[in-house]
Amino acid sequence: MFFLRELTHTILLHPSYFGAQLEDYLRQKLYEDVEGTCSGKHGYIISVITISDIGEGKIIPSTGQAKFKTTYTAIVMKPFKGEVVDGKVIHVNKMGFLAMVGPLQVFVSSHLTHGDMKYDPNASPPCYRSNDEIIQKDTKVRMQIVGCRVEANDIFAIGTIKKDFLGQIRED
Amino acid sequence: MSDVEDVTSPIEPKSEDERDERPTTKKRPRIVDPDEEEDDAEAAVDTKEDNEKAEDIDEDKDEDGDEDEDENEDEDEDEDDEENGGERRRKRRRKQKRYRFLDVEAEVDDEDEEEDEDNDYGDVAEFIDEAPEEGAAQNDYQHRRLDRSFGRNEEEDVQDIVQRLKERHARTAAARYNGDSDAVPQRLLMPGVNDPSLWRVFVKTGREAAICASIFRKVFSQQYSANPIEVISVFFRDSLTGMIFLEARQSAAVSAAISGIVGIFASKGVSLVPIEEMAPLLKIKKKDVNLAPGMWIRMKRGKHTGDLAQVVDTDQITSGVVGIKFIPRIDLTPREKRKERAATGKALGASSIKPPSRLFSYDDVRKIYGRQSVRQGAQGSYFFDNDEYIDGFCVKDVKIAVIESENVNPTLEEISRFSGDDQSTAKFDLSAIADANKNLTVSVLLPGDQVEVYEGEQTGLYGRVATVTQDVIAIKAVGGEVHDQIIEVPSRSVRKRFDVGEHVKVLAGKNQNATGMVVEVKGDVVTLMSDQGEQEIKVFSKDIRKAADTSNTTKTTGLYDQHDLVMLDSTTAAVVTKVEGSLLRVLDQNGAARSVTPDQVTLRRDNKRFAVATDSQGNDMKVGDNMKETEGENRQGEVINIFRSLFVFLHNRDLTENNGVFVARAQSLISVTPKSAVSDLGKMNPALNQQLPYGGASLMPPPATNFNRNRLINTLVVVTKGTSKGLMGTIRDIQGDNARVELKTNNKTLTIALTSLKRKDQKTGATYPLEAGAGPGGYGRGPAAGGYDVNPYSGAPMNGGQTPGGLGGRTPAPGQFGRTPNPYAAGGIGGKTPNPYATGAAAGGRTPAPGWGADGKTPAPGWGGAGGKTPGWAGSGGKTPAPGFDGGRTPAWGAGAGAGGKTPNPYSNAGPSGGRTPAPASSMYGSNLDAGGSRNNGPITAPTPYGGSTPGIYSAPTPAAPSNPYSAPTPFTAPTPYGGPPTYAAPTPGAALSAPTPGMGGPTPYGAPTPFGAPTPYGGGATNGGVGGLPWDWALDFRNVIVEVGPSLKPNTRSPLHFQRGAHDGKKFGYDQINGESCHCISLDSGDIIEDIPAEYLRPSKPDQQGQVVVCIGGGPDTKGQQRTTQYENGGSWMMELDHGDLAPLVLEAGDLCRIWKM
Repeated sequence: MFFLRELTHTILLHPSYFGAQLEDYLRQKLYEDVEGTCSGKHGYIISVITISDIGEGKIIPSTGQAKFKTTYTAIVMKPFKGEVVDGKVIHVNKMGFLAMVGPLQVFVSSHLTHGDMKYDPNASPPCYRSNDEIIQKDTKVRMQIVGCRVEANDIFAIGTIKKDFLGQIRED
Repeated sequence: MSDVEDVTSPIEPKSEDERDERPTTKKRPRIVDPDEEEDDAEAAVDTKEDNEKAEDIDEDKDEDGDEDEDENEDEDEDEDDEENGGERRRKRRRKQKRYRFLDVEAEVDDEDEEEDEDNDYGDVAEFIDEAPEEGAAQNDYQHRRLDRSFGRNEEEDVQDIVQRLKERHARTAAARYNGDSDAVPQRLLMPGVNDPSLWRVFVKTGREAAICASIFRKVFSQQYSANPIEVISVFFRDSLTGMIFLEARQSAAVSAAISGIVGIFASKGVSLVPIEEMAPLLKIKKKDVNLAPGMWIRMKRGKHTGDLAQVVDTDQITSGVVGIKFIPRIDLTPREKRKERAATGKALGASSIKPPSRLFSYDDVRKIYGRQSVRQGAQGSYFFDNDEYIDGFCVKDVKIAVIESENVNPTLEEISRFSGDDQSTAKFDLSAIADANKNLTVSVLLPGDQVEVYEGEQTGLYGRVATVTQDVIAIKAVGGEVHDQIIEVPSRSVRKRFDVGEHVKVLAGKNQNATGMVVEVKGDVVTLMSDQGEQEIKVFSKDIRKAADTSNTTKTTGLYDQHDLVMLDSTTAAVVTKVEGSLLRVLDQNGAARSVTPDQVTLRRDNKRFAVATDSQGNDMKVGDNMKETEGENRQGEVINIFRSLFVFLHNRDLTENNGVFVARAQSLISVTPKSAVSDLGKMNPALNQQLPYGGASLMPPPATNFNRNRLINTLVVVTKGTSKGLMGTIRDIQGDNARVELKTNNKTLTIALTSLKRKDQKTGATYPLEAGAGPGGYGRGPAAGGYDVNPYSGAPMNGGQTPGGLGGRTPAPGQFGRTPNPYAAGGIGGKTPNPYATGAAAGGRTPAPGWGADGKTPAPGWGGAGGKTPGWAGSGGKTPAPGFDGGRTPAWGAGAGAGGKTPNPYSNAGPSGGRTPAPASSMYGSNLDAGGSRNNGPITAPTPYGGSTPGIYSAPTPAAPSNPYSAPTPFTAPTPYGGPPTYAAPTPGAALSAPTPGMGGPTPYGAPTPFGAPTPYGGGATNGGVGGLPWDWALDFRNVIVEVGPSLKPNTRSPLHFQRGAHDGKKFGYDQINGESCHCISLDSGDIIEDIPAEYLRPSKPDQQGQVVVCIGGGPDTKGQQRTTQYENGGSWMMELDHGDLAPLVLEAGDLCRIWKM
């Protein structure tokens, strides 16, 4: 699920950057530092929307660096148990398949596919096949997240397609 | 002596009939053993026969007999009847006789009608039998005598009996009770101080029974000797191996009993069993063997010891036999080998080797043991070695004694072997497994665990464990009518409950400590997807536990929290290592750990943000840095506090001592990460980085980019170096400067340096630098524009050498005028670098900053690094060739001009063409004036020194090569024009672009006064940009060319517009020497006019007819410096005569050409 979140980030700036372009540096550094990262608490920081407060720099004694506590609003993506997400399969093996939902990896175990869905290792590429569905690499699938493992800077989810309206998404 | 038996002959209610048969009114209080352990019984059986014989002897001698012997177990009775039935009968008769006198007491046993009747009848019968005899006398006397004798006998007997009773029960005074009651309270049967003591003796393990028997014999044999051994009983317990117990009043009796018996460790002494332990010693645990088909058991004996087996048949359980099935261990060593082994005397050893357990295979066994050894039975079963094998399993009836039904705890692997294939875990009889594991359930349950009730009346209930006791757990139910109620259920009927998706940790089994997410739950078996490797793990739910997945939610409640810096006194600081209720565990600065109460310490002001200390290498460290000790234990940890810049408190989770906190001196620490890359001020400062006062000295690498490399993951790359060169792959991970690249070809993942990788566009196949942010989806605004991915703060050129190198080469070092105003330049490299801040890079910035160099050739704006190392951020308008200057050659202040887009100026939108700006051709007096004019907005004009022009033609054609003050970057250094004829062209040292030098390939006439090869300053492939033209100081790059004098071309110059007020304007000169920025010009018209004319007034003399020898002064690097002969003119362009090696006629703009003097 996507959220707009107000977050803060602390930037240390070397004195040599103190100048007219200081704010530019800060902005750039902020983008650089936070965009595309993931924190277990907030999820993936997709994009910084606004920088609400660049913060006032405080000089740190003895180093001369300035510390800016920047407040910004960012789009974050955090998966939740029970959430239904669409993703693209990137990997298929006998234990299940792995799909990317944006930056998030979702693993769907073969136990969590429909009973009639069987792994076909001989197909190229390998796929899961049932009477009316075929899931292989690059297939778009709709999954429900059944569990998330949240680490300090990564999130990993387990999904299921063993429910109605889940599974392969057909584009017709 | 029959006490011995008593131990093994419990009085059971069901044996009432037996007792009543021989009414035992004087039972001694015994410890009631309602259910003797089987093995004890077995052991006792051995002793019974001895016992029995002894008993008989005893009875023969003692007519009155001993009532105690009546207390016999059923078994004993049976055996008695069988073995010495006659003896027994006699005994009974005697007893019957005796009962005549004891009829009062005999009456007690009136419970059993039948027996009473028998007895009564017996009495009567005897009386009747006797009566006729007596009656035959038929006289009163006899009757009276009989009466008297009756009375006398009775009297005596009563006294006698009383006496004997007293004797007997003297020692059991504690247990006074109504002897006619069977319901003896247990507590009255407990041994007391008046009872004989129990003595423990150590014996050889395994020989307990035999030793007991020996003692029996010994005791009995001496029973009637002068010194009988006064041991009352001897017994042992199976559960207590290696010891036997003797009941005796004195230890001397015990010593006598055990002396001389082999197997007794008399040296270990005889110890007294405390009274309170005596009863428990003989207490027998109720052994409730509930064997049911399907249950898992383990074998206790034989070669299958420890093997798992399954109960298949309990039909004969009453006879102590149970049918089990297990995987056999048949020795399939070939017969010859076995013979060999036997022959070498290893037979014994061989038998001790356990053959591996494997399913019975008819073919294999037949091969080894021969066809006749295996018999085929019905329904595919086989008989081999008296065992039956069905489906590969051995099916066998075994005694219950040889199996273990408790603590079986079968593993999933064992069970899957039983089921035949590992895949079908689901087929297992899960309830059987659960049964086998039921005893373990409690130990693994913790309050808070989610459990579910799977059997009993609460089936289906689930909730969280509230409390756990041995057999009952309380569950706080979830859902249903009983929601939130605490419900108690037997612990054996619950199992842990896990939901799909939960993150769990394996507690036991071969996958111990693995973590994973639950993907399937089937009864007791949970399937995990391992976090570590991509594999599935099947485990019992009892073996896993929910893992902490989200961030721990410890909250600080008190004033002090873990890792807070507190002051113990004004000079001693400490760090809280643990908060234990109201007590703080602290580690002080001296490394001493202690416990203090919060009021003993004061919290130090939080200085975490500011505290710094200097490590052993002089680098500073802050809280949060990872440091390592340089001495001692070399511990490593994260700085959590710094006190007075001296004492550093660190924390390392891996250390157990003080919860991972330790203290170190700042001076003995070293950074784990190479510190220089992090906080070397010189490198952090972008200004320093590119504008060192020493020209060319700032060769430092760019500051470490804080580049978010994870963004590179999943990018398609191509390997450009190394063994995998040319292969395509996808970045899977970034590790420092290396990337894990999964190759497309063989699906292998290699670690490859990032520098050897290039981004590849999936669609177009074009490659880009990896970090330039190029390509679709990057942040870059253009493929070459260097997105801010690289380093927003630094304009560090990625291709360091190129930019400055290109420029450097061309620097004509006009030493004559001493025009190097660079106060700092030590002349080391390009002495002429007038820009103190000029990055100078390799070549030394050749552009004098106007502010410094009075004669600065290029009026580069003051701070603008002319060289390649332009500050990245500077060039906001990188596209334009430096708005404010004219010396076109220098790249504009921003922008990685010059060598073009190579400077990854993050802010620069400059395309490669942007910076290239060569100065407009200033020599074009008229035609290029426009261009020149536009340049004249430079802030400062270099003052043209009025060089005293020396009249007179310098005929000497020799260029003053050696006198040039500049060194490396100039073409002068290496090959002078007089050097090797064809190669004098001087391949511009330092010019990374390898600008072709003049005369390249051209056979220069030996000694000809060729113009100096002008290395191109331009970036690779530079074309004449729109501005085109030449820089104002072009002439300094050449010699021996013909020039025309005209108005100054130098922008913003302070020099007069015309040289000598236009005295020589329009005139042609040749020059052969360069003095500073002036050329030593000799008029072509009149050889006596010799002037030192500043280069800014000089324009090239264009060719005006065919066959003139010209040098190319402009154009691209490949043409510049070439010496050619004009052939044909068309519209301002000249086609040159074909040269050696020319593939196509060369056509050059007239503006780029200059006639050569003295040809």
